[in-house]
Amino acid sequence: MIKKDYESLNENVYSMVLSNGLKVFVIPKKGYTKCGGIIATKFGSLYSNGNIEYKSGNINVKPGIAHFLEHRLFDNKKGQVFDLFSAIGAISNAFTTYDKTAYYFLTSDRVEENVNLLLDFVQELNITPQSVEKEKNIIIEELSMYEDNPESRAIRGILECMYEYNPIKLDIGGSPNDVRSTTLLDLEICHKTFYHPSNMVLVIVGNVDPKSIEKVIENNQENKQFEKVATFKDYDYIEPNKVVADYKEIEMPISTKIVALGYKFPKLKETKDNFSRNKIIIAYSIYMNCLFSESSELHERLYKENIITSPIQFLHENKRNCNFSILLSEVLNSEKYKEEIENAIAKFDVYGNKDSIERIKNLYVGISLKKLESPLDYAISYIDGYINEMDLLDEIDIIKSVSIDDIKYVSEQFKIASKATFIINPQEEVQND
Amino acid sequence: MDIKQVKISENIKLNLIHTKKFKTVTLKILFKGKAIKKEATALSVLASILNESSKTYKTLKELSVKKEELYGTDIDAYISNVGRVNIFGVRVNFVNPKYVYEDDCFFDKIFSFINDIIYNPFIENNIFDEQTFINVKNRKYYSLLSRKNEKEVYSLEKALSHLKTIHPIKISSSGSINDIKKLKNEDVYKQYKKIICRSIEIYAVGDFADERIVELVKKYFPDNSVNSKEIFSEDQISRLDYQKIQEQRNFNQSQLIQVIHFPITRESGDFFAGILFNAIFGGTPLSKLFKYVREENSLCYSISSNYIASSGCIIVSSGIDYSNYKKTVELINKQLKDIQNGNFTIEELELNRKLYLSTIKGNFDSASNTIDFLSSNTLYNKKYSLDEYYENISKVDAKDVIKVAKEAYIMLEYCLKQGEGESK
Repeated sequence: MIKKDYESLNENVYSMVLSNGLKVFVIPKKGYTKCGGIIATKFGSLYSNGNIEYKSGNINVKPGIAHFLEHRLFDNKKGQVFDLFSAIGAISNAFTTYDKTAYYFLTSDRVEENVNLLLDFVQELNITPQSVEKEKNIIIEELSMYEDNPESRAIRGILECMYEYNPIKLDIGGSPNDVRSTTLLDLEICHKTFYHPSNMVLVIVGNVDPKSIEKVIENNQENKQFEKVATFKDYDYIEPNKVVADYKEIEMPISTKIVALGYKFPKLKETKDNFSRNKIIIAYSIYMNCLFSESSELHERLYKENIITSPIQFLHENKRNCNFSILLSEVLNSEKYKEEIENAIAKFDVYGNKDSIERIKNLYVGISLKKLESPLDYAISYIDGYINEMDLLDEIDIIKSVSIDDIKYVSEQFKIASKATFIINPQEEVQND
Repeated sequence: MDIKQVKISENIKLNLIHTKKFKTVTLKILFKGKAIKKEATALSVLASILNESSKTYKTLKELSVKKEELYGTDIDAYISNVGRVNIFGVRVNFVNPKYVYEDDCFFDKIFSFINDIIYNPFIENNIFDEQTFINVKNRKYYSLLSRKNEKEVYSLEKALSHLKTIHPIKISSSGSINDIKKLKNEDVYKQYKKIICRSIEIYAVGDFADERIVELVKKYFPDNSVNSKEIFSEDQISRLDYQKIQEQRNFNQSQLIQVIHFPITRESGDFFAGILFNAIFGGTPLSKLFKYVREENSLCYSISSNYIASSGCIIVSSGIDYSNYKKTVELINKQLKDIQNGNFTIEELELNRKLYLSTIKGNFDSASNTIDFLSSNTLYNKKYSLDEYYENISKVDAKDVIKVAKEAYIMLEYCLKQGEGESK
């Protein structure tokens, strides 16, 4: 394995790429009781709205299928995966995001057995038509749970307003109809395509010896054969720069109006390398923090004048052909709220905010350091960085390198962005006890 | 991990947990007293006022700017009720200065900031600054209202409110919507004066020089406390007649809550059997509820049981489609009966035991969980070290589980029905 030292952070990372293409990172951490292991495939909800060429023809990759696969893999031929990990002293779980599906364990001993089990259960699909059918209602109830959550409903609502074709507008789990129509063949083909080792990355963080982990992984992969049936291809579409709908409102059984504002940006400007690209992405967060967080003048005014009743949550995503920001808050006066936000964006003076920007960079340095605490959080953050082509341990250097010009670029992007508003109004309820 | 206890003064106890494994330092400062329903809302507003202002940093903006300057230091006053104990806590998490090229004075800046927030609040003429009070009260009102939005939180609070008994489990640490309307600035100030006279437990986890933390605690934490009797959290809820309650709101999914009377408290010798009974019943993904209600019958996505030892009860919660309500309840009841009749395998017991032990051990890779584990001991008359936990959990056998399972009795079944026409 190749060792890379990060002296200022007192961290070492060992890495290798196996002959089958599997990428491996091992981060030894003395003093930890536990070891966290995580394996991820670059297959999340953004990999729908496309197809896989397969023997007799094209297989449409349905929305929600990455998430469906995540559910089914927990039923292994040796038994329930939760049970198998528990038998060797570990907890396990998984999650699906826009750009990945990840499976992990957290253990206090028998690390080698845990690594083998993680690789084995993820790389082997054990399904029958009956087991696929049985899972459907569980997933539909999960979707229902999120549908009742105002925050996740607001985020999906604003993304539907912003995007016409890009699958970012779809629920990560798909719709109940997508779930109902998923077949065993869909799952098998997606597993063969996306779970090929060349599309996967494994990260181990804990009190481990990299050499022995290397041997375990090599032995595990040595005798396995993987058939890569095809690669995924997005449908040909040109996502317009403009939002699909600039305004939409719905009702839910909530107490205070929720307003989601969406900013759709063109694709990120070309950069010379990933470091520069990630610098711009972090600049979006620093800019939004400067304008909308609790330390901002705007927030103070909105709060004191009773325009908002909760802090403004802000997020920026730059993933597979989409580049957007969302602001979310509980709001009493939505017209005034929007006007104030627009004014703040229009009048933002980069040079007048030099000190704030430097201070907020400090904040992000702190946030970055806090990712390196528990072994599992560390492993999850590391793999998330990898999928987004960023070395987590370079993040602090990237933050420090964000310049006034980068913030200025982001500020200009906000001024020309195509905007949408999604509002959830409180529904009048007659309660029946 | 090296744990050291230092008595700073009669009523200030400092616990130092020195470890090199974290890049941040975590502190918890606990002021413990008795949980009283009519004080809950004032305490909740007090925590928010301290989180938003001090005499030096008069507004939320100024306070937030200071936190950002200190590399995103989190300082958060919070309220938590455990049985009959009320904890007014302050959580602090900051980066270890050596990773951000700051010198040792950084610790002083942090402790001075903590001191400012706790002991130098924005008070004028024996009340909090009126504008701050009004802002916080207003925001708290809306945040209490929005608890209605979260189906799981709403259902649990509603279910507990139907229990025909006066018990601390019914006290919400966030306060109540009725009390917030009537709340006066003076009420909050009165609570503040009481809080700072409580005895203090401080926990610090991280890579620091112990003597430096001792010195800073001595410098920044005055001992104002009036000697008070130690309060322990256990308060056994009474066994009540069975009740079934249903109400309806326009959600897509129904929420089922069962409150189970389970008189196995930490004081009783069966506490560890109680932990494993709950694990086998619904406390883990290896449990019967997860396996039979979710995996085998596909009735739900979320289902779990939560053992609240301080109150002697277990709470089952599940999100379901109302068309499956009857079947779900029957299956939950069957799982309980099965354990009571000894219908569980040794494998189920062993897997849950391993999972529990592994989780307990793993707590020590999180500074916050380390503190919670250590501080929970002070809430109970009966103390257990980590080794004693291990030993006691290892000794539980199937007979012990059956014995405690027989004590479980479902006394409340509550269902928040989804809206008409929402069935999938």
